[in-house]
Amino acid sequence: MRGDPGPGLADRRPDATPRPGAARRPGAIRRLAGLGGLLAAEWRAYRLLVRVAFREAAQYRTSLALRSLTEAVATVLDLATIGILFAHLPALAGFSLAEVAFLYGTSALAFAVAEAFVGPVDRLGWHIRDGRFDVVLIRPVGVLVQTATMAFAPQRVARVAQPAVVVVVSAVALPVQWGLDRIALASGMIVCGALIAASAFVATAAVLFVAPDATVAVSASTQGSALAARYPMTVYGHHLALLLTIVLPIGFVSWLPALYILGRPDPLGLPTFLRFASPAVALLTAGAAAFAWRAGVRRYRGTGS
Amino acid sequence: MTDTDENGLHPVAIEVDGASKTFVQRRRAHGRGLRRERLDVHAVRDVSFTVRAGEIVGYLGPNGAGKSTTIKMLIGILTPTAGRLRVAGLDPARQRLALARRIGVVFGQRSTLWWDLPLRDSFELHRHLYRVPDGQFRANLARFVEMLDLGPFLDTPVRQLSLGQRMRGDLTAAFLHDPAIVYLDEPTIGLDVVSKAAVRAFLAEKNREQATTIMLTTHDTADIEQLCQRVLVIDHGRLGFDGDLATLRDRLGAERTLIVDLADPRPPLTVTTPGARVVRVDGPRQWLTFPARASAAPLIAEIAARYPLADLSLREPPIEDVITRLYTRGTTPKPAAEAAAT
Repeated sequence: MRGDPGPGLADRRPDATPRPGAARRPGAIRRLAGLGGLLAAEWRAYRLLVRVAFREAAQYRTSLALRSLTEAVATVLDLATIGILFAHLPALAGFSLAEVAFLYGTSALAFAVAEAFVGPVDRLGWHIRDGRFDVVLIRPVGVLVQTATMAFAPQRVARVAQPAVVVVVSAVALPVQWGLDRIALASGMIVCGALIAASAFVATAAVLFVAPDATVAVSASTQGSALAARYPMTVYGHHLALLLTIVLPIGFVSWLPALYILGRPDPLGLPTFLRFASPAVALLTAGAAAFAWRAGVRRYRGTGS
Repeated sequence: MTDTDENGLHPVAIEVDGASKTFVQRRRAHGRGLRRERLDVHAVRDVSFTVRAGEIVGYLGPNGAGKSTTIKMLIGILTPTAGRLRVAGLDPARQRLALARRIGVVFGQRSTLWWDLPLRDSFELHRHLYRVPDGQFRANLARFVEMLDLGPFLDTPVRQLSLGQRMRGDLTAAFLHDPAIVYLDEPTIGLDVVSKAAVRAFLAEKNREQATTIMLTTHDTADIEQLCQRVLVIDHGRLGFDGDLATLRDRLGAERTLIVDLADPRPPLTVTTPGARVVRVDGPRQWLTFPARASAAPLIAEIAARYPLADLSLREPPIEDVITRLYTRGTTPKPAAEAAAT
């Protein structure tokens, strides 16, 4: 699934595709049905454009293979960092190697999935600069779907492999009982985490509507959050950890639900129910991202630059 | 063909009513530290016109006059600062996606095709995005391939096409979904003569066949002369003229040029035909101008009677001259709203 349904609606109106019989239905239901229809249409367009990106990349087969390999190898270097840490320390902020690996794996997987789906949105600034964004606004497809696929890099998908392996290996190594609750929570946290990360990508990229030159800053901030989410929040100290968890909701990507899976008390002393709040947080961030994106599109159409 | 109403008029395709677009520019003020100056740029000011279904309208004006801004507002890329626009009965700013299926757009300087895909695949993708029924798509594509001679490069990636080939591809994409209205922003810029002719013939044919409403901006005289029944002229954001080309020439007192080749070099000819005068002499060849609305016959007769004539040719006033006159005069020949009503 593509992460966030909300922003796909950017400037779509429910009346864009009138359906027969729709007029007889009450307003709210009609709106919902219209919304569902639009989401389905956008999702179809998304898949189509991603297939095209793969086809375009297939023209340079060797290049694609090499790049995919590079991406995969680069992620292995991330892993080496953790290996080096534990070669010198018995535990990181009180967490064992398996626990840190689990935290790392789940958050890295969530970010990698989000990156695979909406990563190219950070190229928006380039598209605006060289005028290609006007072409986006000509087509009968939502702005987000097109922006997320315009510079789609199939090799990025290879980044999913390493964290997926780490999650499985660390899950087996963890000294916990894998009951239904833990399995459900673990898969739920990856889906919600991906949604939160995708929303963060989209919301940050919306800044590019205001400052198209800020591409590097936007990439840095999204890569930074991806990096920050990989370690136990407590390594950042109490205040920064609170900030990262509550204000920027990256603590919800894996940290809080993982505490439940690891059977640990919260070092920050946050209420226990927050460990299960990821879906709600995901919906909230998706809503905020949709709002930011729509505001960005509106601004672009107001200023034309 | 489009139906007409009780007055014999075609339905309204494009309606622009008092549209304005103001951009706010901020630039650093000199000697005031980080303070920035706010500068309002009025790209389009209070423009009104109506285009009926089946018309081909040339939208003219110098660079930066507000042509592209108007087109972008009509597509829904830009929202107007003030005024009202209706295209195919829809509000482009609020119903951009619904409108997108009913219009076609060609930007001469920017392709809407997929760079790394063969032309054929770009069309296929276009079919899906615009949800063109299969039969309609195949019939249209077959016809366009024939009309624009796309066959030889249908399987070539767009990045390897020449400018003329690419433009023919873009033109095909813009018309594949049978849009009611098509905007073209400088469709012939940089093209060779053959490609230009192909583009013009295609536009004329689509207009005749399906009454497609066409609005194009161009700097090419021949585009206007061969295609446009009507021209709109915009300058500094304001609509300066709305009418046919002959009226525009006439109203601006444009001049036609008679080029005379004499048997041998002579000093400038003296002619008595009213308004005619020699403007240039080069050996046996002389250039005479006379008012565009006057007939060339008396002048030719006079010269033929008095001088040994080897050859002669007649030139219509170049549209560039006509437009230059319009701008330099600084006065509007006739208020746009009034002209639109006639």
